[in-house]
Amino acid sequence: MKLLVVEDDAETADYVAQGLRELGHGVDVAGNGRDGLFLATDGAYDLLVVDRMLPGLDGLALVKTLRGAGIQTPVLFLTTLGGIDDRVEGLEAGGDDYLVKPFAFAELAARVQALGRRPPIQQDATTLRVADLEMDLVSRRVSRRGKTMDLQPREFRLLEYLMRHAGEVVTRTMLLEKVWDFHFDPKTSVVETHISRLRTKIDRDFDTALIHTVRGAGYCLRAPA
Amino acid sequence: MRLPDLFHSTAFRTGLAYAALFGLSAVVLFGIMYWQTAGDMERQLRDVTHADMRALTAVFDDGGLPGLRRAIEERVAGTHGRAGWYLLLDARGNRLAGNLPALTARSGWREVHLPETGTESGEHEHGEGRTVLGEGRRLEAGGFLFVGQDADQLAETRELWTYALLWGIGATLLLAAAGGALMGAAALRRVEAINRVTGAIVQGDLDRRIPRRGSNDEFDVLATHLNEMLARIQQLMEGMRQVSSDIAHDLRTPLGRLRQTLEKTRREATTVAQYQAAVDHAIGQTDQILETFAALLRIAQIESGSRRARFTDVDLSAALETVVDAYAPVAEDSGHTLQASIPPDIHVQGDRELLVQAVANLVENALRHTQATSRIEVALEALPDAVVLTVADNGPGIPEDLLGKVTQRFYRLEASRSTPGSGLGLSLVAAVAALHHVPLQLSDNRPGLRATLRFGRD
Repeated sequence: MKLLVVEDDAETADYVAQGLRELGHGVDVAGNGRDGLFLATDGAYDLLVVDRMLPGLDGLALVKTLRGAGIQTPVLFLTTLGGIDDRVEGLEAGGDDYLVKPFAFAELAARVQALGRRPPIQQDATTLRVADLEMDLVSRRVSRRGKTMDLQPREFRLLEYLMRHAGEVVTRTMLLEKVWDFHFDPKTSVVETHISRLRTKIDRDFDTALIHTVRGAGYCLRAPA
Repeated sequence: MRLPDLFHSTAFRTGLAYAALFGLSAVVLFGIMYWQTAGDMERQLRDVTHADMRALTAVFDDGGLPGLRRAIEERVAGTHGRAGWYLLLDARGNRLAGNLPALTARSGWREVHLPETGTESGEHEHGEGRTVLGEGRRLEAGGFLFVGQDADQLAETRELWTYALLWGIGATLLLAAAGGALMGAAALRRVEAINRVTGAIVQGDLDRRIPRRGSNDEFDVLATHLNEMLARIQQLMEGMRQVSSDIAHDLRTPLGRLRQTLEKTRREATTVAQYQAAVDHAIGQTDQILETFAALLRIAQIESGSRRARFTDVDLSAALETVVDAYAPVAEDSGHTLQASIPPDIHVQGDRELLVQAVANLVENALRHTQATSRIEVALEALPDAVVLTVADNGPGIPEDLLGKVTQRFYRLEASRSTPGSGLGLSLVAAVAALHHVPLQLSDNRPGLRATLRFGRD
């Protein structure tokens, strides 16, 4: 993917850019809002990583301007610690996701991957399929190798999210936000417990596991290689 | 109070303006009264004089100058009762008759002041001049007639009015100025009181408040508003100060620990694996510090109240279901029972995200601080006047005298020091409750802890 990182703190910009390059992305860096806007308007990027607080033109204004100009490149906002209104403001301005600084790189990588995914999965698909696992979105039935699973509503949503992002690393925080709409970090193992239940139903009776734990990052649902 | 202050005060200036207005009113009032009295007096004198003049002119028309001379002499002699003042001159200006000294032969109205000695009447007191108001007229054959009336009274009245006017205006101005000064001083004193307090606050005495007089006047209202503002600012500052001191005190320990880890690694680690393990450990510790830091900032931001602007209608039933749904498997795995009694479609005004976090914190709190096999209950109840949210457990509970302390930042009961946790969970719940103007009540569940949030219905 071709990415633009708009970040005024050189050290953070370097850390982000280098990490993303190691993942095989092409990364440009802009040190202030104006340069960021110029590059984002001009170059064809797959994703913008934009800091909220920027000299010259702040991140919110940058994204608003872009959206006003009809440029729909996905935007991942980087926000400062503790700004509880930042997420809502960022999404209202036209951002697609947000990440609170400081963050683990794995978290950023997972979100970049989720946002920059191309082409997007057909929105009107009624069936999701990963290897021998099948999910019927209309009848809300899940089966593996023809064997129907009995899932709780929340387990169904969790699995649906994993299947829609099959092959990608999905972090704990992403699951909390997308599946439970929790915007805080629980002190107990909510995600782990639910994943473990899901595994029991999806993987236990089969010789190949589909749900994998990615150490230090999160989970990944993928077909066996 | 210094004088220049008084002169600069708005009230004093207003007083001066009033003084000018009062002065002007006094002048107008005196003018009207003057016109009504002295003016009337003058008009009467003129009428009488005019009639006399007409009568004498008729005599002249009939009997010529000699006839007129006779008539005047008669009048001066007092044959016709109370006489006026007369003067008749011939064409060459010689005095023919009359009781007035010679005058210039000029037509029209004039006032004549008689010197003391020039009078022939003994009516007036010695040493006092007389004033005569009269009309002069040239006669056809040459000659001049002046007819006048005694105008002493008029002059006196005029003098009286002039004095009265001067004294009146003087007194009015004085009173108005004094009143203005007095009012100005009173207002200035109140303003000075406010200035003194704000000055003291600027100097750092943040507890000072502006005194109220209790009269509920505009200064009292101003004082009330200023005091409310000060209280709010102080509360916010207190919050920030609290955060700073919390950070100073309670993040020092984990930072110290992190430093020890790194130092120990530097000294002891020899293999790449050992270094990696140490770095992972350090990252874990750093994450914990950041988490605490974020929680503190979050609490401070919630306490600042800015979130209230984003309040919307929240389906509390659905929000609670989500929380219960998320924690039920966790509770089950740890041997707890999580019971929910949540009727559908109960709504409150609030911040969904924060309410969810608050309830989640209460549930997590119960999960962490009770032994397995304990029961945790999440209940929502719609009463006629309130919506009551309860999270209760039957664990060890909190001693009565410490119930008030557990919502303080970093406060942890001795018994729970060993369990993981930052000591900020209940602080956040309390902050969210305060944001919603909902009291967080912690009570003894006999046994266990019962946390209640009571949303009043407006």
